[in-house]
Amino acid sequence: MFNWRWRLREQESFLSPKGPGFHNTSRMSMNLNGTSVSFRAPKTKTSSNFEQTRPLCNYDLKKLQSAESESSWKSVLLANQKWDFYGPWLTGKLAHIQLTITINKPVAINEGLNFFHPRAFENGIASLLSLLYGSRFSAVSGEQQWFGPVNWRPLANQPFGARFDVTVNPCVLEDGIDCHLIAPVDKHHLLKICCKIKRSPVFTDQKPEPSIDEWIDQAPMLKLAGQILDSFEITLSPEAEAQQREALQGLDDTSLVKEFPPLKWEKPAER
Amino acid sequence: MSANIQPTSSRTIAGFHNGIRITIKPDLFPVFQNMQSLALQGNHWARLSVGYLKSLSSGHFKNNVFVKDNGRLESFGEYTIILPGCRASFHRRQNGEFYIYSLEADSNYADLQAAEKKPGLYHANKANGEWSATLLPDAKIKERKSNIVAIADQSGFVQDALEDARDAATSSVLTNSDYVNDNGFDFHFTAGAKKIGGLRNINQARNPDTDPKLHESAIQLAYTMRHAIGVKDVKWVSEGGGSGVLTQAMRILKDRGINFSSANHRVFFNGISTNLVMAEQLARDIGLKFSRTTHKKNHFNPHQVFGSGLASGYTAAYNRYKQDESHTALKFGTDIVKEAGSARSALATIGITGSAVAAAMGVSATAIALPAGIAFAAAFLPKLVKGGGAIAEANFPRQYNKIKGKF
Repeated sequence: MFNWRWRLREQESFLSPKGPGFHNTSRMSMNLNGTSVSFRAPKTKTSSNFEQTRPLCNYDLKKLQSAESESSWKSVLLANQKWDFYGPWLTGKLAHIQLTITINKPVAINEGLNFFHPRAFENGIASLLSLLYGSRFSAVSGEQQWFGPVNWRPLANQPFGARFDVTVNPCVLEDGIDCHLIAPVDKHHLLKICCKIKRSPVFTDQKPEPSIDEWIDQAPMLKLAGQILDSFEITLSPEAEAQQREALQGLDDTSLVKEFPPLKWEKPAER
Repeated sequence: MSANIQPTSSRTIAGFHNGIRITIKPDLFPVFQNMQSLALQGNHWARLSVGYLKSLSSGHFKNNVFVKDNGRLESFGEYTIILPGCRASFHRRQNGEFYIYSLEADSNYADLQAAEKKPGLYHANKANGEWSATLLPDAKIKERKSNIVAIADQSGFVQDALEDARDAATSSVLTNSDYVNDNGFDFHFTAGAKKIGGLRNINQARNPDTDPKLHESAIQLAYTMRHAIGVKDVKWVSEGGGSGVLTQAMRILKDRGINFSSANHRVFFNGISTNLVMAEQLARDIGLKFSRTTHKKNHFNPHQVFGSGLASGYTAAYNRYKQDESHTALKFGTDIVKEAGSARSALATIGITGSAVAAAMGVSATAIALPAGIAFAAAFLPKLVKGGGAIAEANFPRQYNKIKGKF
């Protein structure tokens, strides 16, 4: 009730925020060189001056350029949307989800690289995660700030791909979970869909200070992120299917690993 | 804890040989030792806190010391010192020394900053069409092509503060949106649930320079500003209630006798919701430049109108006339007319909207009023549309900016 953006009341106890509904959302689809990617998501709903990017109908993977050349991956943003979650009875914004869809391609490409090969795909994910999270360390203890991948699930109904989460290290940060879906769209390009869930930190004079899980419910955000990621449907183009057959030729085990333990990153020594 | 409690024993932390002796409760001594060892290891915030605590032995209170009103003489009163990562309470004993009886230290301050729970300085840049913020752990700005430092309003999310600060940085008259998009900008983030100043926190809006709630953020901003003197042409753009933090930071710098005259820095108050006259006066005192159009206020937004002061537009204009020799009486007159004009047009638009709504109501109620209502609406519709933009900006700023950005 009264889950609006205005904040007129102080939060005094545990609250469950409410975000946009998922029931009557329309399906959006993108065409990436014949490979079609479609998903359902609500319209952007946020109270900040957010610059949203809506997906186009057609993309040419060969023409996708990126300004960022210093890193080992090139990435291009296809879509960027954000949903706010408001607390009941005018307690204001408590959390948000940010959805980003990107196409990623390694800068240095080996001749034989084919992301439809399970081992190459797993290596690609490890390299991409190291780029995104591998340089974030606690300034105090030097521990890594993020753990990932956790909750690893190879996709069952789709041609090829995996779902997993990246969560914060509870010893360093309090809150944050990024839900990912990564799938190859051809032999050199990985499609990455990421839902970042962020709750507001606890600001209260209550002593002892409640932890974030005792203060704001995470379930509504996890539910929406799960619904969005569940709705993704990827149909490979004939060329991509040929590349997949080529990669899987002669392999006894064509499935992804059952368990993918979290990666460990080391803080580089100073000076 | 009251000042009556007599310590049985204490440990000295500063003023061994000269100055005023600073003593600490024995069970808090390990906390202080831990802070000191962190400071020696190079922890920025610990170094700052230890330095401040030790500097109490000079006997001179800086403005980060707040006096608790306990009805005693101030010379024997209780004090609280608020620093980034540390909060200490102390009182003066009869032999003149200061006795610290409470010390709360966040040894993991940098991690709390990363968790968006504490204020900090961030660099925002746009890569792949997406804005992202990076914490600058030493809280110092670097020389860039466009030296814009936005001071965001209090928020629980760094991402939201970034998006609002970006809007302030690009919409101010001092900056150019292409520059901001290409080079990024720095912004100072204040963590908290409420907005600063405005009609809801009117006391904070009237006296932002002495508000203890803003102090932790302001002391960091003052540190950033002090170390930015070497960088030329920095533009400090406050967004909404960020002006409160900027005001208190300028007060801290003024009390330390720091002057920016040689550095050619400018300030801009975008949508100011705290005391405008005080902010301009402090900027003038420490040699920060600002022009007549340096503040932007929407007369439809009660938080901005009441927060910055009802007559602040006129008082600020008078102050500019009195304090600045190049500001002639003619310019003062222009300022007054402009201020009066914008307020009057705001009132007129509100009046027209009200009467147009009344006329529309009349239309539905009685058939006789119909032609009159249509004539009235036809006469005032252009004015209504003209004023509508400002009303929309005041009440739905995000939607207004979103639509504005499409053109």
